[in-house]
Amino acid sequence: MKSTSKIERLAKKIRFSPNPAADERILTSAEAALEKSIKTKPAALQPNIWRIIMKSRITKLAAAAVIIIAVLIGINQFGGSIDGASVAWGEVVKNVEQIRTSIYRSKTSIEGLSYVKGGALQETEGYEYYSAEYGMRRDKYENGTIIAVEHWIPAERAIVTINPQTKTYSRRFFTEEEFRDKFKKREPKEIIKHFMTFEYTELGRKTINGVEVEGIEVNDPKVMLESLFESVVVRLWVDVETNLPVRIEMRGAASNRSVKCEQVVDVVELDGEVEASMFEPNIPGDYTLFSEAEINNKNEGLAVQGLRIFAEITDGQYPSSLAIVTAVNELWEARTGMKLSKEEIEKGITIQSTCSFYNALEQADKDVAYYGDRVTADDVDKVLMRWKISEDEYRVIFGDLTTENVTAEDLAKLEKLTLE
Amino acid sequence: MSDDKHLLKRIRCGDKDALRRIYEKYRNDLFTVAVSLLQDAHLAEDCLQDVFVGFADSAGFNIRHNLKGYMVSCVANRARDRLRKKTIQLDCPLEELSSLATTTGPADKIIDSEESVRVFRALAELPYEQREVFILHVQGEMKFKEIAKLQNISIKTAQSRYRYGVEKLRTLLKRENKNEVYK
Repeated sequence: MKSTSKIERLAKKIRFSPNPAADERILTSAEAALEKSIKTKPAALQPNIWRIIMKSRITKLAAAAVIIIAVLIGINQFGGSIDGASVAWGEVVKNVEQIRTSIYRSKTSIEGLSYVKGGALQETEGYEYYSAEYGMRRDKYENGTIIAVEHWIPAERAIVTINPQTKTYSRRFFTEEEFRDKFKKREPKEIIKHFMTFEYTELGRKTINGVEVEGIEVNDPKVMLESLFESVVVRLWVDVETNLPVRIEMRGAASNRSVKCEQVVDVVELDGEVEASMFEPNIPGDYTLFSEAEINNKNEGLAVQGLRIFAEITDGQYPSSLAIVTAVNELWEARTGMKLSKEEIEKGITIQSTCSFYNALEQADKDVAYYGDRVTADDVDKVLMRWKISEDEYRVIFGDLTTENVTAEDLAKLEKLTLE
Repeated sequence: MSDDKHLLKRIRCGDKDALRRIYEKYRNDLFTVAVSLLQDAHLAEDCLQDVFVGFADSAGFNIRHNLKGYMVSCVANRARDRLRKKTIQLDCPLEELSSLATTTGPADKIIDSEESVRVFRALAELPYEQREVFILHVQGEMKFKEIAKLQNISIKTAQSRYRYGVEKLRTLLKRENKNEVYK
């Protein structure tokens, strides 16, 4: 006589698989059903978002968003720009402040990158999960295969990137203040608040996935949270009924427009439920550390070091601009036909510190200027980069990477020499 | 967030790749439950198709907790519907089952496969209520509480059906063993 456990064990061992033809038939009909479902329920996500929002702590968001639209229209009637400091925006930010989690889906295409053969078009898809409590996670897919998982870990003030294809991972560490600042900028309210501080063009209405939306456009590279491109156009589309953000579109160009990027970011969910575990990096035991770097946008020394390493790799050249995409692209371009060594890549990452340093000065309106397109390591007297440090004083990094504080008057003379 | 939750969120955006991944993850488990319930591979395929089309049609919005449990429940409901509509011929080829039965290692292979085949054959002889509880609990990994809710019965009734089912299986297998000896 067989025991209960033996019978259970034998029953568990029974396994069947549908035949491949059935698999295909089932999948084809299920995919068609999904497509139809999304099309016939065009706002398939919206009721979900709406329901979640209504059930959650941000019930007031809708009311707040109404104010956003009202203020936009109001300001536009006068033809002025949106001022983030206005009282109405203060109210909006206060209400949106309660969003604690968000999920976005992005589709990105980029072409002209020097490290891709022939600068071929690269298309990726991504998901970004943000939690004010746990951090952030970004999953990136290419042709349906996961190619990178990025974790922002507040407790370690680090960003860890896991690359399943190469079985490697990289870590970037930031100062506490910088990480906090970077992370804060990912908050939905900060994204909206930041966007709204720029002059915009009204785009009118259109339909996205069956949802009627109204959009505005900002044409300014500073609208990006990171200094990625030299020119940037961003569009924000808002559901006219719910007044919730639906989509953000971005077009960017770098390396003198030889690199072009387009990105569409759809809002999937706001203030939904997330689990802490998904924000913890899960690095398999056989993965190796590819690179580790300290990024500090307040550290002038690190910024200079980034330029020095770049010049060493490129025989005395500097990036033509401090947009990250341009800098990385030119680093590769300089070594055409040669693979960069692991050490060179690791060192090269330091250029990000220079880009972040520049970006921070730009965001802080420090009258920053950079002349990497015309200054090389041999130009000892020419100004490579400068920024304002007081009413009449500027900090200057020269072509040979020495630094000095100069008066505004002296700077004018130095720049004249640089621009000749 | 679990992998399933992540995939569900993507399906809600209309992501076919995520749908495919869910299918690939659960196809064998669900198909095994369907075949065990219906005792017919073709009906089980239809049942699996119904479940996945229904799942895709709702874009996964109905699911709040355990995705596998939800899918197994759907298979059970569909299987019951199909059985109501048609008298089933228990015609699943034995040799097909033998080749599909899983094993733990080479030494167990033949015995385990044969014994599993016998269990499968014996399952067909259980009253449907008992068979369903047994399969959902053992193959579908559902708790008695979940099965009770699905069948609209008390937990005790679900447990009793399970116990009677195991008793009957034991008797059937014992009888089959005797027949083997006399052959």
